[in-house]
Amino acid sequence: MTAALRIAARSAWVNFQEVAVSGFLLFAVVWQPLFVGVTTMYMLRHRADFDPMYVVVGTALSGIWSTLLFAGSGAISHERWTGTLELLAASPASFFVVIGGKLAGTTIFSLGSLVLAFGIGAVLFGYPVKIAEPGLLALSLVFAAVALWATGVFFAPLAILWRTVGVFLLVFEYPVFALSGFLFPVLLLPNWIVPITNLLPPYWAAVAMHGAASGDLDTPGLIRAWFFLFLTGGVLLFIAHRLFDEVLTRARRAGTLALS
Amino acid sequence: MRLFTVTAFYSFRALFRWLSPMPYLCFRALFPLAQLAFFALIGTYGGSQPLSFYLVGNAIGTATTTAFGVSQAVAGERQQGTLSYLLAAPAPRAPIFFGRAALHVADGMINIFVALAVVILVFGLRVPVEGIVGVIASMLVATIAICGLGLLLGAVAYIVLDTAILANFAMFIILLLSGANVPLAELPGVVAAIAQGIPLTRSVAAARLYVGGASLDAGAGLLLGDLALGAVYGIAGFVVFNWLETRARREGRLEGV
Repeated sequence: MTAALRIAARSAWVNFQEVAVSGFLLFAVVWQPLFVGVTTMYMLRHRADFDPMYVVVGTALSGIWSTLLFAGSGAISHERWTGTLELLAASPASFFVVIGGKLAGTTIFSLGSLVLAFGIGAVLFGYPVKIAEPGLLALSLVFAAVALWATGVFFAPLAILWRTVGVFLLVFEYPVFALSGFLFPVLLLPNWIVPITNLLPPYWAAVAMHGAASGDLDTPGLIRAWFFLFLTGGVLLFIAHRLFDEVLTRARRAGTLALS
Repeated sequence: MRLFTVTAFYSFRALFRWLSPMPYLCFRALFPLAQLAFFALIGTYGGSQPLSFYLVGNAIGTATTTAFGVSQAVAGERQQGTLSYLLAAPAPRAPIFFGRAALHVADGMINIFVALAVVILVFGLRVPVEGIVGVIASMLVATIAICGLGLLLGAVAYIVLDTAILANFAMFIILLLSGANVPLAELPGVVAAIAQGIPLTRSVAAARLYVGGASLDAGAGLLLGDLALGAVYGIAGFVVFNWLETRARREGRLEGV
């Protein structure tokens, strides 16, 4: 357990240094949320019940999601391009732990979106950005980051089998923004879609963070959101662990790890 | 002409691993449609403009993804290591450069047609019969104008290296400033002035006129303006491309400009 944590921590630190200078991830963490946040602020500010914190939180979540969606497959693709994927798969360290650690580094980096989102509301638009429950929002952010990290880990093993998976994942970016209610309520979606949203960790992340930021969610409601955040994230992490084993076994059997 | 056609065909076909249909479908159809639906739903929630405002703006806005393909078709030569061969060839530069945008115009039109079909069938946008020709003209002009921008981005990418990020910047700037999602009157004065210098601003405005039932003449000036702007961007790209080539030859560091 200690060894696994040490490996994860080192992977996280190495990856943090890599993503901090990656043009693509800087775009995902800084520039894309900036544009999405500013555009959304203009589009929603005429509502009678407009709360700038809603856009701030939604923008931050969109930045974190965009980063983590591509980070897992990106980490594996990076290993493939640099010729270290086979070495990594053959090493005694758990592949799942190494990639999970790498994604933890990216997750920490992606939290920069939150700082930026506050800047959009407070500096660019001059709104008084007030947090109703700062402590609960901080806790919700930590839990949301963990669940979104688990979602990122879930997508990662696909890149072992499918080197162009990044293009495929692109299709999930905006739908998850919409299905999770980052920047508008999911009730705007057709009725049959709403139950699907409950299966997604990003949805519960949005419920918890929007609720804590606005104060609209009472404590039992918040605890319920946290529970489902951990439940859905935990299920995805469990599946991801099995997927890692399965795809690695398959890749070893076919002998095409670097070629798939 | 042969050079133009060959360049157009192969540079398009080899892009983004489009040798298989799935990545093409994901990037050129599903991603822009998801983006369209997302901004249309935010607009609905915001409620400051009618839904048709966001549907038309974002349907024309799907043209922005064309910029990725065009810019990558130019800049990809460097990434694939074929730039030196290309520049050493005696072939004239104009068909090689502009040929890279040719098929993207047709492809971009297909994308916007699909987007328009989605906003009509799924979101219920009504396009009056008298406005159909105008809407199609707006789509064509938007695509050509974006291709012009894509050519400039592709040439600039020889200096800044990362085409995808440049094209992403362009896409979000256009979605914010072109009036696709935010009325130009709401933008600060300087920003609204900048919006007049980016492609799509006029095409989006013209398409809204036509969806509102205006005659073809009503938006013709706007479309000519966007067409001219696209041409300026395309020619600027060609000038940058030639300048970089001359400089690279003079300094003997083609891959390190």
